[in-house]
Amino acid sequence: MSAIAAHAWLDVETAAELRALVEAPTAQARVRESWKYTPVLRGLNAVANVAATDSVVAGAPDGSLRVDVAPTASEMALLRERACACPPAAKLLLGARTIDRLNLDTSPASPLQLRALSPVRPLVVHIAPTVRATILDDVDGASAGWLLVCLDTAADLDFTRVRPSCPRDEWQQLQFDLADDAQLIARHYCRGAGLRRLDALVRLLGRNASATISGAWRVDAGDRLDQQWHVEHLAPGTRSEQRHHGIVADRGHTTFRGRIYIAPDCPGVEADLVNRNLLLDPGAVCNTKPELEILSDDVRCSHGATVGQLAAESLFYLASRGLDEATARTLLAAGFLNECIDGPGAETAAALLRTETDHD
Amino acid sequence: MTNETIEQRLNRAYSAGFESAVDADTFPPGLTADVVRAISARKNEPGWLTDWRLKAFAAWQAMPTPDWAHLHFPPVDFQAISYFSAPRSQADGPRSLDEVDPELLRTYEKLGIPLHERAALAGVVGAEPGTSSNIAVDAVFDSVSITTTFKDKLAEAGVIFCPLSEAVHTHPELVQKYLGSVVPQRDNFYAALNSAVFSDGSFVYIPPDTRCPMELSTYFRINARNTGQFERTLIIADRGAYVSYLEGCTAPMRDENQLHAAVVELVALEDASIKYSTVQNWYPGDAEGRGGIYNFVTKRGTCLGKRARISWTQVETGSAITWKYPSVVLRGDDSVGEFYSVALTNNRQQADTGTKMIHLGRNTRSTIVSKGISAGRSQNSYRGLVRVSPTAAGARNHTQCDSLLLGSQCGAHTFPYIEAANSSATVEHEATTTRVSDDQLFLCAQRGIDAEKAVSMIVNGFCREVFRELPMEFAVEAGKLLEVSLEGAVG
Amino acid sequence: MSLIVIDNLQASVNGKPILKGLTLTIEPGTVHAIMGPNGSGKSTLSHVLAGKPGYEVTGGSVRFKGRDLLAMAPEERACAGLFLAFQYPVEIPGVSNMEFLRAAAEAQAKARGETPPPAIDMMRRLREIATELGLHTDFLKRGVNEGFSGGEKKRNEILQMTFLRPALSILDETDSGLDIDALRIVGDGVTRFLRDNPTHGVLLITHYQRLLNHIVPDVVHVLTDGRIIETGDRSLALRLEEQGYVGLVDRT
Repeated sequence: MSAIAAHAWLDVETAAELRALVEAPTAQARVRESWKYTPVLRGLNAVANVAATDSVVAGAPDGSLRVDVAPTASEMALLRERACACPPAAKLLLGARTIDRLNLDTSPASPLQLRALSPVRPLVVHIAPTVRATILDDVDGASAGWLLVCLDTAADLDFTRVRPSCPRDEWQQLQFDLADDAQLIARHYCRGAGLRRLDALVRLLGRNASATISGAWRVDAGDRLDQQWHVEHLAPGTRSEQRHHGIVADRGHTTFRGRIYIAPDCPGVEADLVNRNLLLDPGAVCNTKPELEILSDDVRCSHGATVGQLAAESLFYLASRGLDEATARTLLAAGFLNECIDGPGAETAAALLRTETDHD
Repeated sequence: MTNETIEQRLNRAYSAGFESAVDADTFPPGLTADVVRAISARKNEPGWLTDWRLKAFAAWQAMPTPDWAHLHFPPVDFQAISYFSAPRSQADGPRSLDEVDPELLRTYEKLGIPLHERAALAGVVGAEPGTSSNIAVDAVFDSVSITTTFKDKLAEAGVIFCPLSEAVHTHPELVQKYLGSVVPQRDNFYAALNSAVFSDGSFVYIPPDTRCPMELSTYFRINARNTGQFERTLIIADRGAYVSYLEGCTAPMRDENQLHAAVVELVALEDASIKYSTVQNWYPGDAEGRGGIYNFVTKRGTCLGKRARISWTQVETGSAITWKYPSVVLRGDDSVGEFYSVALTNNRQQADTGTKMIHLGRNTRSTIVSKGISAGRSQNSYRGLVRVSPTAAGARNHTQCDSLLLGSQCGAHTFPYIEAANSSATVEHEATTTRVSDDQLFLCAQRGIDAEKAVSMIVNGFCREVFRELPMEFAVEAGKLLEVSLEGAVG
Repeated sequence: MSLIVIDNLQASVNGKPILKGLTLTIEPGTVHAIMGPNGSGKSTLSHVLAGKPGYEVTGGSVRFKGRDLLAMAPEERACAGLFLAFQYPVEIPGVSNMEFLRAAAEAQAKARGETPPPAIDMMRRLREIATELGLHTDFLKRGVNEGFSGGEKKRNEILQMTFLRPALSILDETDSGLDIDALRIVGDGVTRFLRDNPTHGVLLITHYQRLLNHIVPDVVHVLTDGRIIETGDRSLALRLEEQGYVGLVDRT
């Protein structure tokens, strides 16, 4: 691996900008807004003092994964852009000299499994034109991580991310860039953590690119889950559809921000987002913030968010069929999450999100 | 009649644009503690109020200007603004309408104020307010309320409706108790500024179990050049009382940007109900965004008692910049907060407006209906907070937030914040974005309705849910206002 | 004077020719029916006559009551007395039927230099028509086509026609999506309209013969591939039903 001096690939201004972001993380209104409900210092600390390990991808074709390599100029531009908007990403990039890279030039015969994500370097995945891939990301125990996936023209990715409960704080970054006609299915199933923060960005850069995103989570005990899902429509005819269902129990704490942005001169865009949440216990807290920023007129766009409880009439219906209340609640809660669970990781996800009882 | 032509025709002259040349007594620009003291002295205020203002001024000096809204404008030079202006020769008022400044009378004419009310409004000595209208008008003409009508009628019911500056002297116990109780001096940058330099505004008190016998109304206008307006209104509805308050605004055409930072505080005690309606049509600037009012308003009500109800209805078509979030703090159990809003932006206008519903009491309910219409190169944002605190068991909110786009160069944005910390709360938020479709325009054209009228009808239909909440007189005015705002929009 | 004279009309959509020289004259007091298979240009004809954007007239002329129809804006055509009953009526949320029709009547009266009837008379008249068409009068207070069933939307088109009393009504597949009862109500509505307005004309555009059982046409045209290939009386429609379009096209 080539030895590159620290920050040699960051120009002086960018390095200074990133450093400023790390030192005074909420000096910008934009950053304050995205960390409104998350302690930004805990996010920054999750990136600090982690041992350097490599990303590991099981099932990757021979030679497709290279770790600890120098980024190309275009990769750097992408990483830099993102880092300027997110303090922990800025911190990670300041410390990183290299990246891990996975090139998928042909469609893999079977699903790839992301076993480990380097906590100190971004992993950049390139999916070549028309290549179809399935990636299961069930990395366990990374406090930091940055996954960037670029889908070239008409590439097709089925991506599932699963995260079990963990006591630590973690911050992770997930980004998908889609070229013309590329298609993404992204699923995200998780439990909470000490602090679990996910910054997800989907950029629909090419005409007619489309993304279908679903999420389901259960956060209980004193755990916390903070998610940002930004979907940016940057080309005409792009489509996105999102459905996220969350359950907050015990003293769980969740934050969901779902931002849809439609750039000027993007006719024919369709974008929808639904976020539904159930609060099951008195100590549970849920913040949700669906946002629309629309700068084109020939678009169809909607979002909805709800916070509520299991429906009394549903509980009664199950009771009238002989189920006791605890069983009925468990069943209904599982059903609520199952609306968002499908795909190759569905069984794992359902098991992960199941609990014995959903008490009041 | 495509959407393109809508855009082409989206330009019009500001029909309420006029400036009356009334003699004014104005402070030189600049703001210091001495200016705050001087304002207080000019109004013969008691010491506690001078201190209150100075405390606010000290807080304001330490505060940064808010930067979180979706608004872009050059920084305001607060030292270039004059903080006091009063019409002259109030003490020896005119004897008849003939002695009244004809400019002022013309102003009333343009505002559509009925003839029989004009004399009283102009402060003619001994003028009898008209009896045919059921609206009481308190005209805030620049900084000092010139006169108040219908006082006797209201006094019979025990209702107090007078300039705040007068209430400070006549009802000091009420003012001292409630002033700043809803919007504290250091609440935010603009509220702190207002608290330091507020000029005047309305004071309303409705005694227990009293239904205010008429709609109360204030016409705010901004008149003297370079004079920031800092109205402060305080409305208190005692137990079981009801009041409907209307606020309407028009403003003179001018070139420089004008700052307006008002504060409105509403207090509803047990079983009381306050309905506050606004139609705002301040000068929005020209087609290129030059001139126009900066409107940074803090409006908030507290449902202090059980089963209290506060309802905000606003129709916002004017101002270059609107920064406004009429809010309700739902403290009393079973209290109700409502927000109905139409915000129309055209040309280079920018609006960041919405509401905050803070649920503290049990079984509190809130409803939010927001309709945003964006045209030209304008930016229109809804920003709303629904917060359910741990104490607010059984709280409910429903929010419906719709945007209508007229043209491809404008923006429509929605930023709702939902914070739920009680597991028995139910919060629902829905938002949609649509445009006037070519098919709708064609159907109207096929029935002989030209595109301008068609757009106006469609926009009015889009806003119906909100207009329904306005008192009759205002609903008509609001419909007209939208029509005027879209005049020449299409053809 | 003829109501409408369509001479060698040619029109394209997105550069693709649809009408390829259509000629048709309608006299006052007559009912014409245009029948044709899917894709023959039936709806294009109605849209071109009403002036819907997106259609390019590439040749021919249309004179409506002696005026150059194609030079007129859609609303001018409507004010001149040309009415299109849409195949798929669009919804306008929040704008009530009553309000919509009042605006239309006022605009049309103004264009003709007439004084619009008082609002109270309009309301009375609309209630009468609604009742005749079997629509509850609450219907008038609802948003234009908002949440209407297919049948209600079509009846609403006939209600508008009856109220606005156009010189020439084009009914674009008004029968599609109607059940037998609704079809009879619509048919009776149109027949009543013609009886009350004996000098007005109607152009029925339809795929099926069944509407013609309720509204008897004076002239029937068959449209295929953008041209009228045969013209006859009522019996042509019946023959079409027996032989189908294919049989007729093969023969010609």
